[in-house]
This record gives sequence, structure tokens and C-alpha cells, in this order.
Amino acid sequence: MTPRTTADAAPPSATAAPEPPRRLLRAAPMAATVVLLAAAPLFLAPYATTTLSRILVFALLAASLDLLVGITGLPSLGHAAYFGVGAYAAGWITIHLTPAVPVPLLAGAAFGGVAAAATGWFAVRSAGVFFLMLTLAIGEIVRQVAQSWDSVTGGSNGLYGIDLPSVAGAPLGNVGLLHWYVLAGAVLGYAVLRAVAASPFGAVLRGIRDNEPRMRALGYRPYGYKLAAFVIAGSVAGVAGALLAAQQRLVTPSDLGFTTAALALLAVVIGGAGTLWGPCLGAAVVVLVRDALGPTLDGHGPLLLGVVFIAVVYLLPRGAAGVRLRRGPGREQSEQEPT
Amino acid sequence: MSLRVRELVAGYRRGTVLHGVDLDVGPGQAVALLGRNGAGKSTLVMTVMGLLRARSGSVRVDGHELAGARPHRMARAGCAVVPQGRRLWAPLTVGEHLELAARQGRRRGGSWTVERIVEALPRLGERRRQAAGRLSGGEQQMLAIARALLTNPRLVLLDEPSEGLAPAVAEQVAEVVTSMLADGVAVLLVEQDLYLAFSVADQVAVMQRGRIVHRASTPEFRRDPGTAHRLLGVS
Repeated sequence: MTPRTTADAAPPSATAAPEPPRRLLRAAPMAATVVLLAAAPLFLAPYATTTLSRILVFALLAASLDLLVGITGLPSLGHAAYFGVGAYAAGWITIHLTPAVPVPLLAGAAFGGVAAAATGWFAVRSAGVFFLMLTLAIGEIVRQVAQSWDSVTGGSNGLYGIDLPSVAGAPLGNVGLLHWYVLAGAVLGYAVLRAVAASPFGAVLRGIRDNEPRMRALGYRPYGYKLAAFVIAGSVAGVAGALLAAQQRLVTPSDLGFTTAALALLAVVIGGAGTLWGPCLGAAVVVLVRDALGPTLDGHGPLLLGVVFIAVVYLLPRGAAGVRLRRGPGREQSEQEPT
Repeated sequence: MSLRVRELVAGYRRGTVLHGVDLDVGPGQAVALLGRNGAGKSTLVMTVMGLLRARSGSVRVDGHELAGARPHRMARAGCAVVPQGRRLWAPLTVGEHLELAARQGRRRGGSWTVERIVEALPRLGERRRQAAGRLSGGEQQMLAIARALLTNPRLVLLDEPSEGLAPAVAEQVAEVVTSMLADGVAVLLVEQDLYLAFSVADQVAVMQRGRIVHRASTPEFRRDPGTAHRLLGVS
């Protein structure tokens, strides 16, 4: 068999090739991206830097959703719920307890994870359209709670007056410092997702995605793995929420509503499900169109997003990330009836 | 380990395929399941493994009733299946396949490890980092068999393992099955290639329209070409 080579990989037959250089090579684009993002406040205007921070927050949300959609095969329409729970938890703790840095992030992770566990234990029992509908309903319920629980969430006014996060007692008082904080949190969350996806546990998730009966036939019980993926994704979404609270200094019910959840799913599809980095690109497109181009289009941003979505589905069925990976193997068809 | 199937009825929405199957596979025994296309051989394999729900009847593994159990319970009871068409996870690498299976195998305990598999099937070791979807047909079949073996099963159901393989590769498959038997694993082998089936199995069972219609030892069956011709349409 003639080994087909992809752009970034050594010929597959060269298994004797030492591992570290290949790994470094693969990590290089990632490292360069992080360096570039870290340097951005030095040459970008404050408003552009703020937009970039917002993209990072949304990118982490989209990547955490990709762990469900692309890696585990569970497309969710309620993922913004855990993002919002994390944001409210981090915001509330910043106001009432402390803005000292790791605390709001940890609160976001913990509350996002707990909320995902509380709702995931029954949601992941379903699949396909039922899962989509269940998560949609969960998202709406959580939004209703955020809207009506005035004493904690501030109701429809939102939770405002969130203090700037502080490091060693000093608040991160300018756009650049805040951007670095958001970048650090996003990189941390992304690294967790990456590690999960690449671990043996991640291989189990991908096996479930591609052929669940086959995983069962090996002796795996998919329920526990799906629930764990759901909780991890919820927890990382909670971290993204905590970053949103710090960056926006305001959390409103619309941050955890259907629109946010749908946009996150859109980012995953545009970017390419299952790659983690693709949805980050998708998130950039979504935020740029919504926040940067939207106002100049007389509020027709969503229309443009719709057009982008249709174009991507038709032209790049695997999203932006698929452009490079097009020659990869297709997924296995689902279990067929034998004769 | 022994498998005892009685009065097994199963099928799909469109209709019943198995109309009361009786079948025994003793410990360390290899039974070749023969029959024309559409006789229900693959359906029987799927139903025994729990991938298809049994409507009625009994599937006993070492005396434990497991009819209608989900596949992961069958797997944990020591059954493994090498499905028709291999059914690998195309995007996952060879190494990931081996590791996924070995994790279950370690839980059960037994002699098959990733190292031993790679020693027995060196091609898989060479292709460890490759996506399973990019392997050749023979390599895919070897990987499907390796995946089943690494769970350290006591009963393996093989559904047409030689399908679409070159004769030399099919022979290699037969060797692996023989080494399973030497380990005391019970084998149910669905096979169109009679030569391969006869070389491996000590018993032959023939299926027709969802029932087992003939049982014989392999030498008996080979001495009786008339029956083989009548049931299978071969001479």
C-alpha cells in the first residue's frame, strides 16, 4: 500500500522516526498563535484588543462544545447554560467574595461542571434529535431562572458592577492586562480539552461517536463516558463564562440563552467539528460578523451569519478545518443490517 | 467457555429472520456456521452478541442466561465478535484500536496484550500511528481480529473473516484462529470459504431459512458431498 502523506505528517511508514521532533512540529503553529495573541495588545487599538478578548472567550466556549459535538457526537443546543452559570457564579463571587485571580475561574469551572452533572445525567441518556431538544429545553429553563431570580442574578438587568479581576491585590486595570488574563484562561481551558481529546479516554469518546454498538461489543458502557464528557465540557464552558464576566463586567440572561448556544454551535460547524481548533476559528468569524460587521450592516449581522453558514455547509462540509484534512479517511457508516 | 443457544427468535422490523435456532459450541471447540446468503448467519451472530435484541429464546454462556443482554454485558461475560465488514473506527489509529480493546482485556485478565498481538501480527505494529480507514483490507481484518482478541475473550464469533481477502491473507487468518483454539477459546466461525472453514473447525452447522438444519463433525461432512451440495449448492 502506498502511504498517502498529509501536509504536516511524516510518511506513515516512517514509524521509526523519533517522536519528540514531530510533536514539536505539531505544537509549533499553536505556540506561534499564542505568542501572536499575547503580543496583540502591543500593536492593536484598545477596541480591537477588546474584540480579540471577546473572540477568545467565545472560542473557548465553542471548543468546549466541540468536545461534545465533534469528539463525542452529542450536538447540544443548550451549552450556553453552563457558560452562563459559570459567568454568573464567577461574577457573584467576584462582587461578594473576592476578585483575586484564580478564585472566579475556579468558581466558573466548579459551577459549570456541577450544573452539567445535574442536567447531564438524564440528558445523555438520549441521542440525536431528542438530545438536541432536551438540551434546548434545559438551556431555556436555566435562562428563565437567571431572568427571574432577581436577588442573585439581578434579573433581566443582569449582574452588573463586577470588579476587575485582581492579581496579588492589584486589579488588571487596562485592556492589555485584561486581555492577557483572558488569554491565559482560554489557553488553560483549551489545553484541558486538548489533553482530554488526545487521552485514551478521548479515544473512547471518538469510538462512541463513530460506532457506539461496537464500543459496547468491546465491553464499554457508553453512559458513564458520555456523562463525563458532558461534565468536562460544561466545566470548561464555565471557565469561559468566568472569563466573560471578567471581560464584559456584566452578565445578562441573554448570555446563556438560545442565541448564544446556537451561535456556539454555528462556530463549531463553520470551523469544523472534531478538531477543537477549527471551532476557535469559527468563533472568530461569528464574533467578528456579529460585533464588528453587524453594526455597519444596520443590524443585519445575523443575516450575514446565516449566509456564511449556508456557504460553509455547501462548500466546506467539514468546516474551515476540513480544508486541510479533506484527504483524511471518512467515518465508518453506521451499523448495517446484515443478511 | 460454552455457548448454548435454544429456540432463538430474532429479526428486524421488516420481519423475523431467526425462527428458533438451536446451537451449541463447547469449550475450546470451533464450529463452522455455513449456509447460503440470507440464511441468517450474521443475524445469529449479532443476536448472540446482543447487538440485535432477541425476541424469544435462550442464549446461555457457561450456563448464565444472557438472551437480550446488552453487548457490553456479553463482552464482560467473555464474548467477542469480529464483525462482517470489520467495522473499525476509520478515523482512529491502529494503536488506539489496540489500546481501547486492551483496556477491557486488562480488566478481565488473560494472556493477550498489545505486545503479544504486535509480535504475532507485526504489520499492525508498523502501522500503529495510521488511521484504521487507511489500512489495506487484510490489515483491517487483522486489526478487527486483534481488537477482539485483546479483550481476552473465551468465546469469539467471527463473521466471514476471509471475505474479500487474498488467499495468502485468508490463510493467515486461519492461522490466528487456530492459535485462538490452542488457547482454549471457543470459536463460532461464519465462513463462505469452505476450505478455510474445514481447516479450522471440528464441527459444522448448516443454516437454512433461519434454522440449523444440519449438524455434523467436519470429517463426516466432508465425506458426504451430497448433503453439502443440497444445502450449500456446492460440490
